[in-house]
Amino acid sequence: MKAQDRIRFSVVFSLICLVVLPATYAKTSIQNFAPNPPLGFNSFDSYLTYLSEDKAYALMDVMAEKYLPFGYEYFVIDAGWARNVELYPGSMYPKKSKGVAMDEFGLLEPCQMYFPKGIKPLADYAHKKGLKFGVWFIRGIPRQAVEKNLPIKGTRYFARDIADTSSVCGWNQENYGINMTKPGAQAYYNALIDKLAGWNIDFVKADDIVPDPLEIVAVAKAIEDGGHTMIYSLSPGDVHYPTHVTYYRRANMLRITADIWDNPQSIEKGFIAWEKFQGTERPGFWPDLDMIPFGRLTVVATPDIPNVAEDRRARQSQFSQDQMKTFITQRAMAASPLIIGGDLLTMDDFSYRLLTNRNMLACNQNGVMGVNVYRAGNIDVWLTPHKTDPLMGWIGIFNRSTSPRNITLGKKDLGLIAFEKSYDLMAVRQPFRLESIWSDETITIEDKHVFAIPAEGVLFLKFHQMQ
Amino acid sequence: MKAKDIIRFPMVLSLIYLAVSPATYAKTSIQDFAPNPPLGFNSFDSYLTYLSEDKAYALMDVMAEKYLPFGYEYFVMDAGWYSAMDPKKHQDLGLESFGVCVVRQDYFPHGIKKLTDYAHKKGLKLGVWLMRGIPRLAVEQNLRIPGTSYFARDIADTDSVCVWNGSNYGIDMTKPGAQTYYNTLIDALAGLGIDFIKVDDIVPNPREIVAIAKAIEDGGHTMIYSLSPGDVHHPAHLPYYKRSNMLRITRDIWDDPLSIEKGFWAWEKFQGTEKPGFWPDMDMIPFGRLDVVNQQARQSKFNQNQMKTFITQRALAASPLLIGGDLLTMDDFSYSLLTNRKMLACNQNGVMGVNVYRAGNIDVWLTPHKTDPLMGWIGIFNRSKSPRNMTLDKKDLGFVVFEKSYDLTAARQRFRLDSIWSDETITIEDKHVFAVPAEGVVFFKFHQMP
Repeated sequence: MKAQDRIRFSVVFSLICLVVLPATYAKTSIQNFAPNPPLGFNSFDSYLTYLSEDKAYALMDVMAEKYLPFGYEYFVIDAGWARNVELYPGSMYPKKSKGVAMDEFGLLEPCQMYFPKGIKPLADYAHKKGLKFGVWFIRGIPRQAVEKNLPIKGTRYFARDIADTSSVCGWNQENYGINMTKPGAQAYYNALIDKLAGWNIDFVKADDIVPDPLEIVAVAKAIEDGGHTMIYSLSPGDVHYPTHVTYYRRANMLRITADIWDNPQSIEKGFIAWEKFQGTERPGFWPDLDMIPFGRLTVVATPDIPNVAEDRRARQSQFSQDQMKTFITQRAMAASPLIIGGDLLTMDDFSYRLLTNRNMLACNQNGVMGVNVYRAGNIDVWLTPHKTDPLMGWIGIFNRSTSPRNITLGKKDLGLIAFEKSYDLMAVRQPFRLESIWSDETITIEDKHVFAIPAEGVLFLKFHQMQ
Repeated sequence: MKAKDIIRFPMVLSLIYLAVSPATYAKTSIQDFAPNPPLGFNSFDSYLTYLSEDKAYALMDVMAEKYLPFGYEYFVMDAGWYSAMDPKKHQDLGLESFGVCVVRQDYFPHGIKKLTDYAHKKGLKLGVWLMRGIPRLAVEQNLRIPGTSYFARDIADTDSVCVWNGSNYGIDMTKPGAQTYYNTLIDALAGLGIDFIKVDDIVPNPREIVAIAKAIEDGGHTMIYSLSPGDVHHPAHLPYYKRSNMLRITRDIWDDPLSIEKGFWAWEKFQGTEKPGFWPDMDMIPFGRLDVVNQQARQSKFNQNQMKTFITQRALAASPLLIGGDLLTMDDFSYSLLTNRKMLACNQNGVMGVNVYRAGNIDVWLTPHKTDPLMGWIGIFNRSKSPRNMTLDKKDLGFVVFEKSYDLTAARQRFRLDSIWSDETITIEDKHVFAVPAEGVVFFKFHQMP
């Protein structure tokens, strides 16, 4: 080969590589962002909508030091960061809202009181610490932008051309929905997502969006067409329709419960939602049982602040230790994203141990939603199969009553089953080793066993089939 | 930049691409093989276990000419290609030295490789049926597992047997040599150019499901992997079923009304478990001439309305479409249903529809378009034996929206409904009276209007 031919050959070869390989693989797909359930922290349960910059840095420091080694990487600021407020003198608690903070295109801006230096320095700090950074936003365009009829960035359209003033949120009056059939509508979401990506945001929690498939898809397109790597999470969690699952799956996380707090009803809501959505998970798409209200909650609503609802007062989580084990075991076995809600700055040791238990986290990151295999007399057994090895998995025996129970269960009750010769469902012949996650107990089950389950508690076991 | 550098720069760039890209992407994953529901033909409904070479070539010729243009590409030979289905006569099996079945000399005197080459030349892909486990004959002769120091008796689980087929024993996957056996089997089939395997008696045995998936993936083979039978599922086994491309979800389906009902039950049970690469499978389509090799030879007993119901179920449920009837003698009506491009577009959309309405033997199922919430398909099924006129409104049809307080209400807009099985177009403002024949269906593509 002559030098010229060699140049030509290698140039052509390079061009083939450049054209063919990226064309095949480079298209951004949201489904590739979260191969396992995301782990992180969200500010709402502890800081409500009043997280300020100094606290955010302090929380990230603690998170990077104490939680990141266990995989908790997404630091997410919930609502409030893009709203101007008037504060009570001497506090960071707002007296009243002064409207959405936005730019000349109606795109979100940081609250000057809470984030005077902007969001980008926070995201950059997170990245320096090895964390990823997320923010909340609500579906639609600010009503203030519609009143002023601001231009849609990069288009010849205006806010009133794309706003659907009949599409409003029942619990938040900041925005109007967007009519996605209008020209300029997609450009608005593209501009919003591009702006957040410009601040190096890695995660968006879009609220009021679950009921609106067209806008779910529009935000997904804005992320993918913009080439951004951004986890996409959908809220709220109690307005689903089964034919919309296809569009929910354009996101990485779908809230499947209404807001969850530190009360027994929230634990029941977890079982109900888990059962309903079991089997819909896929790598990249994770039904989300909401934040984990362990530790100190609503810490910003200190006693000196007037006019705070009783359930918003600063408190230690009202869960008992057994309720906490039940709560986190549900999320481990349902492969829910684990987003800590309690204040990381003041987290108690017991909560911290549950949240960072490596055996619990291994079950969660296995990425398979467990199945309810037994239910009688307030006792539920759920089995989460290991994603690749049929000889192992996890079992949770839950006591959904308020009294302790001793329950005798056979291998078949536990879901340790095989199809015999005539395809009859039978207990597996082999014994199983059951290792308790929340204690050091190990059980070998040949046939059946008596399990002692505390009131509202759980026995959480990793199982292995023995020879 | 000097000439030498000019050479070096793009070469280095190329090498970086070659090094990075294959390392990142080249691992074979079965889930990449079937981004949409597979389409093809399976020989069982028409040729049972008695398909011979001359018929296979004739069928492939017709398939390539008349069906491949519509996407039907997998030509699958069911049981019988390596033995007659007589459990008492498993001695008739021909075995390779290592215990893998060889093709029947009487039916396929020129072997399988020639068939696969022919299929590929025609643009088709070729599949074969297999049985879980190792031939009992190999265990009796205690043949060596190639490349290992183990023998058939080391890996066979003689307690693990199939009740309806006595040719094989299951394999104890905890034994050394067990995975190697499946690797050898799959490598041998891949060497024959096989593109698709239908593995029977395997659904109840997750470890063997996984073992064959590993054999395909670790061997680097591109081979569609289909699991049977269809009535022995356990929900905790779903992650292992998802290692394959197709999972039978019904028992054997034939040309009778009960088979249509079985379709609805299975569809409802498995709805939502599909994903690109994994397709719940409602079994073959018994249209046209069936059982052509024996005294049961007949034209499908389905009437035209039943046929429309049957194929609409599979379109709306994104089931693989495997034609069962004899391609050599297919009637025009069956052919027109099987090759209807609008029906196929719904099937290849790849989303299992949802039951949105059920009352008085009327079912409405809605299949959302995979990317566009403004369109999709609906089927209004009459599961009774009398024709029905049914008034349904937009909410009954699943055209819903969540209003201000998250109340589920009918969408405000009008919808255009284009019938797939006729030329009718309906605009629905509020409600409409639908005439649905006995055991029939009206099948529409819908669009929300501005």
